[in-house]
Amino acid sequence: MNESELQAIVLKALRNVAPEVATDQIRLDADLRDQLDIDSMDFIRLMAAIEKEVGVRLEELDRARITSVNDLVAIFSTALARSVRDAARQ
Amino acid sequence: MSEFRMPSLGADMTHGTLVEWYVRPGGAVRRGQIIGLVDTHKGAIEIEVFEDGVVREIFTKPGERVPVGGVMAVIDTTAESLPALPSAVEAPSRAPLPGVAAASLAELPGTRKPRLVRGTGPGGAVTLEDVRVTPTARPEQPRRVKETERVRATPLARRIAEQHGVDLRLLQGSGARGAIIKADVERALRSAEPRATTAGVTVKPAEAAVQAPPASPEPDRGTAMRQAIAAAVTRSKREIPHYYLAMHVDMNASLAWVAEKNQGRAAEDLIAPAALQLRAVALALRDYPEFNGFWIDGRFRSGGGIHVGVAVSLRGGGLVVPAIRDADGLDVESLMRALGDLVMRARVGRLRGSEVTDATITVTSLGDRGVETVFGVIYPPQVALVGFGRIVERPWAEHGMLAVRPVVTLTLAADHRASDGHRGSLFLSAIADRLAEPDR
Repeated sequence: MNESELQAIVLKALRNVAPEVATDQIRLDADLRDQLDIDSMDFIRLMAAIEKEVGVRLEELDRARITSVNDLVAIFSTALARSVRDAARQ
Repeated sequence: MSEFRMPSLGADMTHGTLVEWYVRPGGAVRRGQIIGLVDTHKGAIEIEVFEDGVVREIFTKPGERVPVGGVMAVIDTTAESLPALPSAVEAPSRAPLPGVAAASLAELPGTRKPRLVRGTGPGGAVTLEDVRVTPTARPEQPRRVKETERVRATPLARRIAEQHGVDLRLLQGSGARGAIIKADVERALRSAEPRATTAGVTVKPAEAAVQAPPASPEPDRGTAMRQAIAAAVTRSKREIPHYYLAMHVDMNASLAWVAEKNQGRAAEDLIAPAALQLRAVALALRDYPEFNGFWIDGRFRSGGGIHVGVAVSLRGGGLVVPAIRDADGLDVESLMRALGDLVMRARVGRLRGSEVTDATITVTSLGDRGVETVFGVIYPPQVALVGFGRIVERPWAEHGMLAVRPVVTLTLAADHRASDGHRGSLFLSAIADRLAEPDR
């Protein structure tokens, strides 16, 4: 899965949580919670949806570092690569 | 036979609009089953039936607005099954149809819409054959919806007129601003020929329904919700003598507990600190039951169980308070699942009627990026509202030493008729104690 596919997944999950926001109006580098007025319950729901779709589970420490769409893409990208490496080793 | 009526889903609700049915005539239903979706000022709410039975008649059509208490369907709750629906009957039946108004038969597909039916059965009862032979009031053509709806008439008058094939445009209205009211339609029915006999014409909508103001364009849900909130808070501040208490609570133990539990968990299994906060309130209420219930007719009435209402803010504004039933009996994981489910359904508009009316106390959390202290407004007729603000790092002095701790400001808004400040303080302390020892 490449980064643009990841980004598409992230934006789709965001649409479910904030359906009234047009995707093309989401600033990729800005704080998500502020931009979209998402609270912690919605953030958990967002993370759950992306983890399920991407098929990888993040560390809680990583989740704590996420603020923007770009962060989400980068962190999931790393986690995916790591899980692929771990699977290859076994 | 049991009449299924539009439920009241809030003290200030007067009408609901049916969005869709999930059952059909002939379908079996069980107690607690969700049978339809109703649009109210609180959003789309799923409605449940409270008895086992078989759906006999459905009167309300999707899109129709019904007053609270108005009959929407008839459910047969007796053990025996009833005769098949008219459209399935081969030969005309001479047997009177038990408890079914002829007008209601007209709603079923494949039958005609009688104007008024003369009953030829025993005692003047209406039979299936009577319905079949009665000519229709109007030739089969699409209803000229727009024109009749320009006529000023109360929703109740409209329903009665439609059920009996009465043309509103021919009536004189005696209501406010010339609106046609129920009495006008009934007068028209009485003077019409042929006369209907007892079983043929039954006015279904609840007599208790207040005459609504003349029909006006349906207000959008945002406005309606705003009005509902306005009514509730106005009543609250007018009737409830509030007192307010606040306490700073060290959330260190709770946050550490949550972080440890969340280690290695998938996002969908994460526990939010909010779940611990709700649990602390629910358990504390066991020892301070005077905060869990209602003030009605001059005295406190216990809530029965501890059903914690969670104030959920809606995107674009608005507030809805669904309840987690028997919250004190749930472990943290179950509470978190219930909370996540409720918040999600509240925001997509799929709450159930029973969830929106059940709360015995309300907890509001303006945490996250919000303010530090909530000065709440009690939702009548409840007697308390517990508030949690944002968890903030603060200097914390303990045993003469200074540290930095995550601190939350816990508040209580309480009805002074039902409780006093001393008990209120003890209640808050009990909540704080449980947050300090999450394992308890």
